[in-house]
Amino acid sequence: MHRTKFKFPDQFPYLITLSIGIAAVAAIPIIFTVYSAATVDPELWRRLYDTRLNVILPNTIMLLISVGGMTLLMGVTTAWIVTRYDFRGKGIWEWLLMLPLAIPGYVLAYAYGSIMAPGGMAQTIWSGIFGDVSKMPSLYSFWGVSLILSLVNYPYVYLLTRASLLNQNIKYIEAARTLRVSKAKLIWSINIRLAYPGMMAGLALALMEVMADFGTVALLRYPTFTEAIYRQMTARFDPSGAAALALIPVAMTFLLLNLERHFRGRRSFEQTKGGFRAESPKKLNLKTSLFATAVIILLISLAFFIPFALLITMATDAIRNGGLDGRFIRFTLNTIIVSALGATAASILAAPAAYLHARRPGALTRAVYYTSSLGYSLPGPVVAVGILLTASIFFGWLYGSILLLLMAYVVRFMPIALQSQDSAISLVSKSMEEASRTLGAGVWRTFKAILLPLIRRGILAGWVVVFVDCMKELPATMMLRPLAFDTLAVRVWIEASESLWEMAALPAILIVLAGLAPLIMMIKRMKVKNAGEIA
Amino acid sequence: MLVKSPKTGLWGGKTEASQVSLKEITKSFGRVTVIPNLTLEIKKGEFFSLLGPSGCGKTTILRLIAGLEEPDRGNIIIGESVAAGECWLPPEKRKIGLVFQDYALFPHMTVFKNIAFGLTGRGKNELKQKVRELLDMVGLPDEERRYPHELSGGQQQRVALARALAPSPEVLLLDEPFSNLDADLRIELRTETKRILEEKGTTSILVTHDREEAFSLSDRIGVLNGGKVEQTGTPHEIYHKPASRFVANFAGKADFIPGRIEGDSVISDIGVFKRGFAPCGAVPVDLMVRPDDVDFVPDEKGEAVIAAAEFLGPESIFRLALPGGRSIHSVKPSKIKYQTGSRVKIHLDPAHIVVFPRED
Repeated sequence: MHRTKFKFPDQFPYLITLSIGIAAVAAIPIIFTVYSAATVDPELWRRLYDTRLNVILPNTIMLLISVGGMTLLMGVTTAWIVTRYDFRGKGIWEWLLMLPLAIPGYVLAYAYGSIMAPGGMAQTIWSGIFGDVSKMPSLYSFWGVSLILSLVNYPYVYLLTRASLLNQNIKYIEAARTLRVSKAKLIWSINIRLAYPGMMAGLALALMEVMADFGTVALLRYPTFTEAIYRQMTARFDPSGAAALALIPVAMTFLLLNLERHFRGRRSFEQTKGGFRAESPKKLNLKTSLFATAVIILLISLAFFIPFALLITMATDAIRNGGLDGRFIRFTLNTIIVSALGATAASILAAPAAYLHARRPGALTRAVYYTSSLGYSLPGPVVAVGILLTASIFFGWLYGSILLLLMAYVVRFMPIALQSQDSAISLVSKSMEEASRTLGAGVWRTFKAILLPLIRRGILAGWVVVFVDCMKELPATMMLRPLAFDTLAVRVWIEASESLWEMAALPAILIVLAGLAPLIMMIKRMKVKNAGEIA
Repeated sequence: MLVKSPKTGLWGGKTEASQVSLKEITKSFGRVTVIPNLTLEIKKGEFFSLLGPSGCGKTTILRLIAGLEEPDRGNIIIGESVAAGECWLPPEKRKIGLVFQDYALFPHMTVFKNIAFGLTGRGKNELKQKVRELLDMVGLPDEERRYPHELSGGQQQRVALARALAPSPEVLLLDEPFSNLDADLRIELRTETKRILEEKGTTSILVTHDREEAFSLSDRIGVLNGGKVEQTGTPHEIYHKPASRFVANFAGKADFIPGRIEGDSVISDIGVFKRGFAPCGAVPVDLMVRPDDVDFVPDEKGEAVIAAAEFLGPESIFRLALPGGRSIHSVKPSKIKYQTGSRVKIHLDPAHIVVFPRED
């Protein structure tokens, strides 16, 4: 009896089929969007240009430029300070500089909206100093939006630049010194040049976030693509127009994504393997220490402490006024349920592709992995449009059910689970599973008794990050949620757009507190890694 | 000393039945063919070593036997059953044990649980007793509650051996199990492993690039080169009667002295050796000489000069320069010192005449 040969023994064929299916589901909304955008009537393009594109295209590009500049300034300056200099409290500031990652853009926009509202804190201070309140700069402006988005996204530039600077081998710097290079030239040609890929990768990530942002620009009434797609879909019920509009941010995001991959890939080349020694940071005296600390405190205060303190004050007021009512509890439960379901679905669906990518590297498994990751780089409204388009053709009966929303969460956030599981599995030697098999355990027992316990933490970490991202997600939730099914994020947005500042405080503070969890996890991991490098 | 336990191997002569047999196995990874058409038989109860340089495919052969890789072509038979080829047996059904190079102990399990992992379908007390027995056997009676990371490298290796032997496999596979240990420990553990395996009588297949390890442990050795078996034989045969230049070089230090076969003898620069060849006309050959075949005495009129001496502890290796610019190596006890530069007379006594066709 001759059995037909599989290229790989055991469970591989089933797993690969399963993972291809999942990747297809993850990719269909995007493929559909692109397809329907490519096949729309040219007349629609003209109309879109006249009514929408003529505004949102320059708006988006201007925003990318200004946020790009500001995040570079904030991120690189702070990264430079904490890597090149040594001063009191640096060990804490280094980590606190990441705190803004816990605040979604729309929460920061809302917090500043309330600070700068008529009769608010900012106006009181302004009139005390300058008198005329009407001359105070408005938050609802190009610069207002730019500043908010920069404060939220500079940590990406900070993190990757810092990593690049920390990885710089002192050998290059010593070599340059022996060549009697001037100090300014040394900084420029060696330090900056070597940190350049990290800076660019961070910048690309920050700009991808800007492309994906919906809440901030919508709250501050600065129309960009995400906002236009949202309106096209919800106010004009024009899916082909929305798809056409989505095409441009999709293209731009892929450009940024490739930019990021390109620079991230280059980064690894510089880390010399043997004889690595980082340059020891320079000790600052009292005056310069104070200056460095002041710069950092100013930034963190603007991006985190001030809005956070404000949220807490407003939240306590809200609680005192009976804000913890049945409605609030229902929103919270809604949020927890959809986020938990989304995170669980994403974690389970990511598993086959993550396993194959880690254990059976090859062209096919890599293709599956990247196809499954497509959704992460896409703005929420684009994903929502894709899912609505797909659903309208294949499963219209799903309209208004929670399943469409979960599908959007999976498409958008499964890549996070995928990456987290992939790295967890890669850390477990393949021989663990092989040892189990040779000891008589089958595929299932090997998975349950050996692999699963060893990667549990990685799976859990991925789950938590996806959970929090689902909780923060705004545009897709707004577009796909069942009738009258509000989440905390939706509540923040609705109350804030109607300037009901205090009503938004409780949901906002919950979102920020939840956002701190994955951040703390990440910081802990980085600290362990740092300690390992020193030892 | 060739005293073997009656249970094991050729000289014990107990059994000639085949335990593992690979027939015309081919295995490629992508476009690289690692094993081209390999046929190999391992007998029941013997200790067999696959010896070869890195990249020769020896670990792949082990993984094919274990069922961790599937051959592109050919059959693998373990015991009575076809494991690969006409049908496929997954690793867990093959009754094999594998000791990994990195030991692959489960880090989240205690020593006890690691060893008990392969012991299924037993009562609690029976399990406890069995694990204790195994731990006693490998000399770690008190370590069952420890975790792998709390053990030294040598202890981990012992646990890995106990774990692999726990389900009483028909064949034990060892993938360079001693390579992560330092020299003294390596020899100690190798001796002990041999004792345990002889007691159990388990058919064992070792993969190694260390010839000394293969010599000291094996009943038979298969020398591999580029996925092909160059020679199988006892350690003695591999060392003294290598079938190819590759084996001759890989099994130990060898010098090749040019000569020619005339009639039934080899005529070379350093002597004429009669060993009853079939007469086949004058053929140019290289005569293989091992350092232990070469002796010398100081002699003012000798034909060779001591060019270099390398002190190795119990013995020394000397490089003797011959008149034609060629040199030959000799090993002698290191008790007596010889001055480099002094003239010596070479005395050659090869136990076996090994010649290879001349290569130019």
